Amino acid sequence: MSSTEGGAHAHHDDHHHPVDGFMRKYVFSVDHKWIGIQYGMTALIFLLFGFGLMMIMRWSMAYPGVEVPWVGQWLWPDTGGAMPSEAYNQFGAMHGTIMVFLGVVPLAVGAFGNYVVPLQVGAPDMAFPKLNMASFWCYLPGGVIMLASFFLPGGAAQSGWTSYPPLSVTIEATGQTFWLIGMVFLITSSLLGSVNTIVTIVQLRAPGLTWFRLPFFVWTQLVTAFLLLLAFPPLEAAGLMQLSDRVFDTNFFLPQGLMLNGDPLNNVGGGSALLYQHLFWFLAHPEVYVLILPAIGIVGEIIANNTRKPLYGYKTLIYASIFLGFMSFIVWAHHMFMTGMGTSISAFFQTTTMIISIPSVIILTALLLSLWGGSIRLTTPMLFALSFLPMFAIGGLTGLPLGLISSDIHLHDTYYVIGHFHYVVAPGTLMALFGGIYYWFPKMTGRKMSDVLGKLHFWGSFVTLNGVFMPMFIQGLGGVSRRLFDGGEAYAHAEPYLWLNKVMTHSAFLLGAFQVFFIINFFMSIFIGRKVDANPWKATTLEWTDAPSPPVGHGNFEHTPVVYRGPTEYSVPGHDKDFTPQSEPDPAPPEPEPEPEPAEEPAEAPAGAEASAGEEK
Amino acid sequence: MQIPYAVTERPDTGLNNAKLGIWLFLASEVMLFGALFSSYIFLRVSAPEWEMGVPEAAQNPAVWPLQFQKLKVALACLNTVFLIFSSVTMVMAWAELKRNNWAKHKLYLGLTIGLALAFMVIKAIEYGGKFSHGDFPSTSNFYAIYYTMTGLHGLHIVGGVAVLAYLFFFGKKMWNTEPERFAGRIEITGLYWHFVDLVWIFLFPVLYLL
Amino acid sequence: MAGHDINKEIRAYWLVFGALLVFTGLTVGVSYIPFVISMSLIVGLAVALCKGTMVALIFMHLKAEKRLIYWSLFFTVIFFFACILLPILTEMDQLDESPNGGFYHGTALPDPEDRPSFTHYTENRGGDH
Repeated sequence: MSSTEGGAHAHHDDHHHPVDGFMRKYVFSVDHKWIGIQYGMTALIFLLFGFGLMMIMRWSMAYPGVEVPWVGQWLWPDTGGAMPSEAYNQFGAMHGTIMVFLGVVPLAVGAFGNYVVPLQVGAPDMAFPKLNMASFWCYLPGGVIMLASFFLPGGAAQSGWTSYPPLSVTIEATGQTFWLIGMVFLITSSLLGSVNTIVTIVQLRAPGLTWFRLPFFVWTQLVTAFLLLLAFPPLEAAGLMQLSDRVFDTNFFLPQGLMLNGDPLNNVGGGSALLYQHLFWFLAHPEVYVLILPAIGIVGEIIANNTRKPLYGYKTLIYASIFLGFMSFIVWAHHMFMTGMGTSISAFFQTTTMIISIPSVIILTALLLSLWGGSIRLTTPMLFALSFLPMFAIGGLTGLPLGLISSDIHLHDTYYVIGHFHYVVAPGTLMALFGGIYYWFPKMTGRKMSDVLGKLHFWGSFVTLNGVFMPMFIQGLGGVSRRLFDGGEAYAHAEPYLWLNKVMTHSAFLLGAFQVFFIINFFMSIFIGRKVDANPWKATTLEWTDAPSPPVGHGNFEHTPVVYRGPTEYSVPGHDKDFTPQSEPDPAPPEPEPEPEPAEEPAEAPAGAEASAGEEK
Repeated sequence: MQIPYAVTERPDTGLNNAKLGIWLFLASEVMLFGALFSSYIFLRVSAPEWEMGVPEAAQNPAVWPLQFQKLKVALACLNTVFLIFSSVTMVMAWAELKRNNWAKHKLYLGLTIGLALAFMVIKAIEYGGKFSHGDFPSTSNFYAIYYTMTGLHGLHIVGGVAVLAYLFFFGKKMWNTEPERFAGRIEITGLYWHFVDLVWIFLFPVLYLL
Repeated sequence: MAGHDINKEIRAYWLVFGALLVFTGLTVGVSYIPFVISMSLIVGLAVALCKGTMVALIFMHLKAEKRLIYWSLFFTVIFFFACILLPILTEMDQLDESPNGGFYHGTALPDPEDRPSFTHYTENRGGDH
């Protein structure tokens, strides 16, 4: 599986590599593959925890005031086991925070990004391995700090995942302060990671791997890294300012004249709650593209591989992703349409929001068109990738009434919003990420996950996910507000839609049950999954064609790969296989070959690749 | 296992990894301080300005004061000079390495650290003076944003001093074994240091003079 | 960075140092001139921009730097200005007609009569939420 003659032998130089101790190898590893696994396992655990929080919330929404089974009596003995509204607020705020910042992004960027990107660009590791380790070790303590806040006086953060002032500043819960401290750790982790990703992609591409031969997944990770790099700092500033408001009694976000629990707050004032919203959403909007772009990249990889066809519109996909990333910085106030902004500035944000839907549609269309004429293999990853397409379409389309002010007036802060963003993240991104796990599991372990369990997991999740989130649109259109611990029971206008709460709750519990198949499959397959060779999917990208499964401990590749062609050269006419690896050289011309030179320049690529490396800008 | 282009430049990009990395990091720092400048502007334009001769304004903490009356411009001016000086000594520290002059390099590096510490001393005097007058971040939004911006900038100086001190005390070994790599480290640290100076170049007039 | 160039660069560094000191003096001196605030702002920021550009181009070698760096910084600058300008624009263009063009965060100085009363606020919003 190794590449051409004359590949660099750099990796065989350090035979005297000292044996790493347990701490260095497994805890403070600098190997991107192990760090990727650390990120992945931690993120999956956080996802499971966030899911658990949601299950209890959904119980309260479907059966308000009723004892929560199994955990109710233990958690809330005072209310007879029913979920109190303060607890609902905590669970709600933490569910959102955990899923977004501790779950999906670390999985999509920290796990998949770290594990796959260096392999796909033909690099021995990330550009800064120690920084990578530091990045993980900012994420984990940040997550622990966040979770620890449940046990602090006053409880965890309970001002929504958005942590809007004045509530988030004036509320006494210590957990709210810890949320902010945790966010500082997470943002630091993210910044270090994004620098690493960008430098890796720019600098460590293998010889011959020009920009437009990069796998689409790498491009999406590059754009994502830029979003994280440039969008997170304002939230860091806002977090520090809110921390200062809470701890040092500053008034960045507190206007004068506030009342708290019926009494005047008598604060110095002069601040603005809207300032926080601007700084928060400046990050949080690009953040949602951080949530979706890696998933789009994974879907692209899986679709090309399982249609045995090149991706349709490869360059268009790339330009659309770049444009999407750029636009994402100037749409943020569509989350603030109800804050009293005037018509002109609102129209500006509405326009940019409408414009940003264009690249999303282009990407989705290109992925859909990639199926046309393909020889479709319905492998487990492919099922997940295929389901992403209509689910992301629903999520995206339901965003349009929210981006248009006149309809947003009615839909803002209703269940419609919750339905919209969950469709994009849960049936969308999360399905794509699961597909990615099934897809790259053989590369990580040398074994395949069970297809039977995988398809059970898929169909069960797909149906129940729609059962959980589709009714939300109906409730939202009916005017049911979000963040209500009783599911809207207290409001007369919500009465016709209350039965949907039960539908959603039961679907959510079923959804949880189907994840058991995944958990069993994952751990079981590590030990007794069917063993496979290095390229079981017959893919073209470097991680499959040039690295063993799992890749070489230090350096990934036995010989530095050299790239000769694009990333999805499937079913190329005239070739005997239906896939042509990126690192496979063109067949030699039929003329008699001259004597090949045995002496190559050390550590540099052979002449063929150098020419193609030199042609780019 | 060697990471390629850690020291030597990659031919098509013309950069080594660390240089690209530090510029990207600085880009994110631009956004961080940019958000704080944005907050400063936001808070200041939404507050009524202090008008001379309006007595209640002087007592009302929600009114934006005349900044140069509340802050010690002379001390800040001195600090500006210190930082500018430290910027040139920093780049000279790198240049002397290029000229293979270890002794002069160390001199300039030491000067840079000394000037940075002098900056922090003046800062401490400034803050101390204010605290003793009872002017804390909670006193008014002007003080809040002033302390936050100068405080964050000060933390960046401290971080820079830590790295510079490490290079100062432990640099000789790497200079003897891998001089290119060490010169690269000095250059990268210099880039960070100049950025910190750049932030102050904007902070000084905005907070003290306008 | 060839050997003989370094001496030229060193000269440039010290020249810039001198220029920076001069500009610092300039910026302090100009602040004493009783300009109207918008003028002070423009002059102050213009001087700071000159100083900053010198530091970036000469000390940070940006003049000789590669396109990749320029493009990263270019987009950073665009987003920087978006982050600064757009929030202010949202404050200047508000739905209700309070005094001070929308910059109203409950500061005490305007006369009590000029402050929109609570009922006035809800009237503009069309009653209950």
